[in-house]
Formats: sequence, structure tokens, C-alpha cells
Amino acid sequence: MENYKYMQLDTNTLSDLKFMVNAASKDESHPVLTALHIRPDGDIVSADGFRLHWLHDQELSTRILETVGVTPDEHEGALIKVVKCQKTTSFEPEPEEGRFPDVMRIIPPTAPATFTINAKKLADAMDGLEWIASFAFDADAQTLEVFGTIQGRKGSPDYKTYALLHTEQSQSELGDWSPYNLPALD
Amino acid sequence: MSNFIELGTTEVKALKWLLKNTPPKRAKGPQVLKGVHMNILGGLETYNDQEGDKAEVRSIYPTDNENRATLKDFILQGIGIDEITPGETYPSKAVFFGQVGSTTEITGTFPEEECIDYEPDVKGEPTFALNPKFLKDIMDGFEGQVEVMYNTPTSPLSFRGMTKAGKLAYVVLMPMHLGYRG
Repeated sequence: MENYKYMQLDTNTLSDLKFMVNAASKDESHPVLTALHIRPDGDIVSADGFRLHWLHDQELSTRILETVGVTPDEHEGALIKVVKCQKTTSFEPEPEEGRFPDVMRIIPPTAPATFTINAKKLADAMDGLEWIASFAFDADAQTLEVFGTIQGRKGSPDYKTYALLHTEQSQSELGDWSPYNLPALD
Repeated sequence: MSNFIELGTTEVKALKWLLKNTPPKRAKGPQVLKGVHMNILGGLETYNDQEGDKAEVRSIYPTDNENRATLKDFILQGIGIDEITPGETYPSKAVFFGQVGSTTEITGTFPEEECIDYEPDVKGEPTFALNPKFLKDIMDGFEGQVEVMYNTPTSPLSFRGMTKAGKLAYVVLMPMHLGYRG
């Protein structure tokens, strides 16, 4: 372990980094997608073909680049390979040649949100549910209904679950920031 | 004197999920809200707010429960009641749960307040479908309010908000991750 450098992060920044690592692919047949893409503007992107996570944190991207010892390309940025091994996650320069996919084409154009909801409440309502849950948003009532399942085990029946959550009219306090408004890479 | 009932892991999971929607034991407000309503269909329901129109609701119903005891049966057994009265959608009594250390106390002490006559207006027309664990992982990365953008030209579902470290973050789901779209 002598060759490793360690990053010391506060709890919240570590949570953000985990959030980005979660979306990196584990599929080695697509090595580029197993990496975090540090863009030239300092934003961090990860995508596994099913989801895309985008984090606007230049401070964290600088820390990662410095720790791994990678100098980003002026136009392409840098790819940082994520190596997940049991309870540890390490980062190293992406050895494979390749270019991170042009994810800009799937970023939605700036548009008002359909609704706004409390992240913790929604996460809490998902906790313990299995399989696929159905969601019904009612714009008039400003509610989100969740129809889920708790799978029965050891002779117990399945339980159908229903949750009613309240949403709010979107009042964007986040300004106009969107990856859609950022310049595309060369 | 306590009677102990043994619950299966599924019932414990279902009970925990329900109870997360009840106010804390010492919270102000009607005692009835700290209970779990039981209806004649075997459904159990909780409300987290004393204002009926803004209450957040959770309910569970057993499926395919022929010849199998369900959570409702275990609770009735625990408080010594044979069956709730048929014909009532919402019984006028509530079953109470109180957290005592690491155990859950179930008592038959019914509140004097009447139960809220609140029936969710279930629309039942899904807007989208998604793996709940996957959605929880996404929501765990955010802090506070999250904007949800549905059915945009490039993605069926995307999210924007602040992370726990106070940074802007964006999540875009690809169409194949959704079961279906309304």
C-alpha cells in the first residue's frame, strides 16, 4: 500500500465522490465508462450507459487530478479510472486510449422542472421496496404516488405498498445552471 | 406485562416501512396520528401530518395471503383482538406502536381522538416506473429539494439539485432504465 496516495476529504465531499463513483461502469469491456471524466472546465462526469451523473465541483476535480498525478488535456480533460475492490475504491490514470462519450446530446435543454420534491423523503419512501415501483405524478394535486412491493420471504406473502408524497411547484433556486448551457468539448 | 409476538423478516420490514411515516412518540399533535390504522381489507396505513389534506400516507396490503398469517393477523394477536368489525373502511380504533429501545411496543390502548377520515385519491395511472433501490441511491446523493424533469426531449427522467457538500449536481437517466412511460 506504500505506493498509494490518500485523499483526505470531509464527510460531505466524500459523499459527493461516492455519488459520482456509483455511476461509473463496472463493465471492463467499456473501459472508458469505468472512469470519471474530469472535463477541462473542472466538472466531473460519470456514466455507465444507464445513467449520467454530473457534478459541478472544480475543487474536488483538482484534488483528484493532483492525487492521481494527471495533467488534464486542454480540450479533452482527463479520464480517471475507478478501481473498486471490496471496501476500497482507488483511482488511477485511465490506461486505455479512448474518448469519453459525447454526453451533451442527452442533457435536457434548460427547461422548468416538472416538480420539486424533498430528496430525503423520497429516498426514505424507497427504502425497503423491491423490484420495480410505479410513480404517478398529479400536477393538480402536486402529489407523487408510489406503488411498490415488499417481497415476501420464508413463507410470508408479498406486500403491496402505497405512498403518497407531496411535491412543490418548481421554484428554481438553482439558477440557470445546467450542463446543457456549458460549451461542448472540441 | 408484555406479550411477545414473533414476526418474520418480511413483516418486520413492512412494519418499519410503515412506522417511518408516523410522527415521533413525543411529538405534539393528536395521538391518533402515532398509530397505524387497520382496515377490513387487511391493509395498514399511517399518516404523518395532522392536516388531512397535506398528510403523507403510507399503506401496505398483503397479496396472495390465503392460509398465511399477515402482519395484520400478528398485530391482532398481539393486542388480543379477534377481528376488526366488517363494514368499516376505517375502524374507529387505532393500533399503537411506540418505540421502546430496540423493540417495538404494540398496545391496545386506543386514543380518544377520532381517526382522520382520509382516503387517498389514488389515480393509479403511472407516469414512470423505476427500480426503487436505484432511485434511493440517486436521492441519497442530494440534499434538500430536488428538481425532477420528466419527459424532456433528450431524457425520460432527470434530476437537478444540490449535493451534500453544497455543489450543483445533475442526473440523467437513459430510457432503458425505465420500465415504461405513460
